[in-house]
Amino acid sequence: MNPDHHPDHDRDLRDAFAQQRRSDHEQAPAWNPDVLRAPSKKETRRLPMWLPITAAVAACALLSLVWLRDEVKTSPTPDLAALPEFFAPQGEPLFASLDSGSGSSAMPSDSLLPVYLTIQLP
Amino acid sequence: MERETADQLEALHPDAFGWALHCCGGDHSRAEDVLQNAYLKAASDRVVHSGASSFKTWWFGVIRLTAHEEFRRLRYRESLLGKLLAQFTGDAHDPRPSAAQKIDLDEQTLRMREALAQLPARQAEVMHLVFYQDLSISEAATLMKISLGSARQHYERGKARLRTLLQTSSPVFAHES
Repeated sequence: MNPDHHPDHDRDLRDAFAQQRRSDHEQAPAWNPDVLRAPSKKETRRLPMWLPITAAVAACALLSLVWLRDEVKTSPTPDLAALPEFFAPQGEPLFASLDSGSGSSAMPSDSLLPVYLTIQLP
Repeated sequence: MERETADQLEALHPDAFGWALHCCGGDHSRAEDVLQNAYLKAASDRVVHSGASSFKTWWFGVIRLTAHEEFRRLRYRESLLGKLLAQFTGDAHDPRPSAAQKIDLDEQTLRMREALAQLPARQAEVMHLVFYQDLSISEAATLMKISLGSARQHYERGKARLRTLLQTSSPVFAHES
């Protein structure tokens, strides 16, 4: 008997709790000794401790690689003077030979059109 | 696990379920999960009875702690991120008791549960431990990790409030008391 219970004063509460207790016991799952052996299906899957550390190191390595690649791209080009000259500039301007031809540039662009299509300005 | 411990756990199983049920606010499936995880802790020797308190007090403390862990997990699941993850994994949980469970519970038990739910958590815990589990106030204080004085205060206030709530909800109870 619980020493904190007053037999007369708390009878109403004890009865109410006893009723609840009976009801809960009826609905309690049956005792199964396997619960003390089988692992719980719903046990939390915890991440291993090394995983976040490995992820952080991998991220750092990846960032370093990207940074190094950018560095290589933006580094100054090697000395051009050491390379042979592939394209030497010519002495005369481009298409100079065309200008000095038979004066075809003076010919109107519609010279090949039939006469009826040629517009004659007054 | 020692045979003696297993026998003690078996003897306490129905009451342990009742306590898990109280810790989970009457949710049967969650109470079963909590109890299962508590058994797993005991089986894998993650919790060991040192003899500082009675076996029942120690075991109920383990169940209480496991229920709190489950509650924190549930709160995470109910957060926005948790809901999104549940959508992807299809792992959704309905905390409400099923219709079948509601029918199975008789009216007085339901009324009692509702009245306990209206009490402050500490008062409800002391009430359950003292009246339902037949522990002393001192044992309840040890289990709840509070001082004996606080436990007594919760006990007296809880009794008065619970009576009022039950009398309001049930004229039969008022007549009996």
